[in-house]
Amino acid sequence: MAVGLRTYGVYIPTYRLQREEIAKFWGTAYEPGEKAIANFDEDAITMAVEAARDCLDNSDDKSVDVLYFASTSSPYKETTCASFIASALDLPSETCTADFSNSLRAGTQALYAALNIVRNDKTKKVLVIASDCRQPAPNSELELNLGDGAVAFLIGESPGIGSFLDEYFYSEPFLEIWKVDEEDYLKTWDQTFTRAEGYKRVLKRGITNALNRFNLSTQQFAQIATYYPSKRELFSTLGDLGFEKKTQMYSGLIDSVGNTGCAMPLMSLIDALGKVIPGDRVLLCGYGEGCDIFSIVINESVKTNSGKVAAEKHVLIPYKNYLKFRNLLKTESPRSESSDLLLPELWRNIPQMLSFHASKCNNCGTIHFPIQRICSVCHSRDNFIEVRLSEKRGKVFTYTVDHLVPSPNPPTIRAVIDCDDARVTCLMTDCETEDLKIGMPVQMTFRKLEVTEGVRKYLWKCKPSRDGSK
Amino acid sequence: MNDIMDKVAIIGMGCSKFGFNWADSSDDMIIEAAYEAFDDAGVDPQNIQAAWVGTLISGMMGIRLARPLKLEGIPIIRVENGCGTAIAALRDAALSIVSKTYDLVLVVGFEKFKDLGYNVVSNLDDVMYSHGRSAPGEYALAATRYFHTYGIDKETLAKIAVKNHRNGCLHPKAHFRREITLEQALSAPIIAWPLGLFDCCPRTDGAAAAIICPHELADNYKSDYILIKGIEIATGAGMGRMSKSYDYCHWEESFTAANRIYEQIGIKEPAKEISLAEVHDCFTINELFAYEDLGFCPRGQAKAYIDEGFFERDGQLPVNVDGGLKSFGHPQGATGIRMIYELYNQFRGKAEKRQIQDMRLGLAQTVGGTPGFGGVSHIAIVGGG
Repeated sequence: MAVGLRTYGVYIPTYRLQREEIAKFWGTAYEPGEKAIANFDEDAITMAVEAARDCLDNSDDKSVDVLYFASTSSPYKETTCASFIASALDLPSETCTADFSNSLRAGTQALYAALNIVRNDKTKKVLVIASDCRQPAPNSELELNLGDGAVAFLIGESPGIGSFLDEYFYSEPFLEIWKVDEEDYLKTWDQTFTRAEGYKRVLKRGITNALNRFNLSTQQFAQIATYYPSKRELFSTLGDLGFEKKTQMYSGLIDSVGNTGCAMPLMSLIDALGKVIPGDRVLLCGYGEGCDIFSIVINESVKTNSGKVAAEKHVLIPYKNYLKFRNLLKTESPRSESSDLLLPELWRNIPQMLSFHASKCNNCGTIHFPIQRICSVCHSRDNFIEVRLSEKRGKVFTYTVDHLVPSPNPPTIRAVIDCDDARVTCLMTDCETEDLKIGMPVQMTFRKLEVTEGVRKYLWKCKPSRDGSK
Repeated sequence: MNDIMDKVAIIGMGCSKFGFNWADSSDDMIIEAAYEAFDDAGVDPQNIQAAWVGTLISGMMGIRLARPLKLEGIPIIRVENGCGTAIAALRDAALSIVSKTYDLVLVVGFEKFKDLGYNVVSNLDDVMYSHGRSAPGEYALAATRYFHTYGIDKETLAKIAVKNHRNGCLHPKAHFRREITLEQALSAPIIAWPLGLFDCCPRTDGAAAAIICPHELADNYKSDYILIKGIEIATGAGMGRMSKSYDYCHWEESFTAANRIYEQIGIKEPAKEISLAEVHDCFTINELFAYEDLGFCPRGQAKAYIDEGFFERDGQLPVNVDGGLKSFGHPQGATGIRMIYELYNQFRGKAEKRQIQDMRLGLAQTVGGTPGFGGVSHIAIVGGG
């Protein structure tokens, strides 16, 4: 039974690092291009929330039965990140949540699990999110290519945008890229070996077998969307198989966003959607210790340009900012906030911190954030409903640029935001201080506040409204 | 209703040297301030019947005062009300005189910040705001908005800092005793835009003390005592951060406390009837707010008054002639009593080069909290005996 790709969403961080910046810093050679860099207050969880918001925003029916989070760079080694994401999305507690991790195929594996859920019960809707924020070693080959970002698919009953017709899986314990607890960074080996006997050989074998199994030829696919470590590997591997570089492959991602890990094949699929018409077939390939291959038929045209993913508004940063974002410099700040881990308080505040709930007075309609049990206007007690503020748009009422607050990336911007019916006082992020002004439009974004004893405290901040966003 | 008016006399006061008192412990500073007050009042410490001690973070319980002064057996209560702690302690002590519970009461406020280095406990009971806030940043939110609303800029605030530094030079116990120029203030590093270094008061070590008794007993101690005319405290619920009704251009709590105390005492025109005001210039914008909230000038017009020198030492209403928090320093637990110490010396003609002539009423204002997050504003008014 065919399962449909209902809607999709994507999130690429605002900041970009040019390969030239990295190479200039280290005095090494480079090829042109840039990659997306998560801000200091972003990680795989926060980006997943943003991609999922984009995905659900595109969906008329917001209901989700199952949420799968895929990442090779989960902030927690043990603890279900999907449960935090579900809460940040304000999904019901009855949502089934699970994490897929440890592999570049985590995204496509989560997708396969989602297909099986819907095949089993076509009324189910599964939100699949793949998000990666991987840490390469400074001055490594990987550093030039790895980018950060997240993608989300809502999987449900066919038809939708596209229908998943068939899959083929191939598994092999080939060490191409790995991360172990004893090391701070991702590891790889001489890439002339790993790419020849890893990516290239494995993907060629997998796709050849898959096409035989599907009883289809390369020419019957309008587009191929795949993970790839570099343009060279993409063109030579797929070229050897008989795919046309000009018409069937899109290689814009690697030079604009970078290699986004387990999110990459799904991001490639979104870019491919912009180039196809109903009836076209798309081949989707996830790679990592084998490959996951899906055959998809397109049902409806998508109003997006190819390269949608890369086209998001962005800001170039120098390498030194990246060092601060990733906490790669050993610092000894004389000022530290003595922030204890108050776990019960953190737990009590989940509705406000993760789900961004405010109280709305049933009597007079006044909205308070954080939640107030007694209305400040009519003084009704415990007479309110909880409303979510995440999709509010507002304007800056006042602000400060604070150089005193300890931060990995000072200064800290705090702002008072007035929306149509609420005022929110919060931190501002992704904002250049010279752009700040009273009255500037902002939107809300899910971010990491701080890390205490390894525990990530998340909450909502505001950021300048992105042009052209919905 | 004003039960305090003219019923409580201040008969002795003391103040330690304010500053980064590396060599002094809290006990040293408490002893320095308290014994100046005992000597000033001619009181034997062992005759004190009850005491209130104010500190924000430098110790718990009344034993913090009993230990250094060896006060055994009497009731001593520790008070904490943010940056307004000292006046809150004085008020409770004064009410114990009004209620005829005691005849001789000691109030000490102190703070020992600098043993903590840069780090200060900001133990907010609100995890959502446990990170990313600073005191200058919170006041900067108000400054940004006031600038926008009334079209002033950093220069107006800088003039307040220049004035307070100039005044502080004249007090031997002040923390910073150095004049600054307008250029220095304007070119100083930004701490939290738009507030620069000289818009911010220091964290200071210090202690201040007062001894009070019923008015009718004051003559037993001295003839030049002063009288408490009133003490008012107004507290806010912190709705400004979540309610669009707050303009971030004033302190409603200060406005409320001022109106209430003026009505009790019968003050109609504060700018004319008050001879000297010591206000809470933790940040320059807060002294500007005080001008308007306490009715010293109309709303939005502080700049014109500042420009004409209205609040200078030789102006129509001198404000912070001892240098204020900005120059004298700000040990939270001590600050309000330090303000009254200046008023006390002014009434008694002992303010040396800072002396204001013809003292009629003196006002002290302290504010705890930050704009939008809610504050507690304390105002005390004193007069000659």
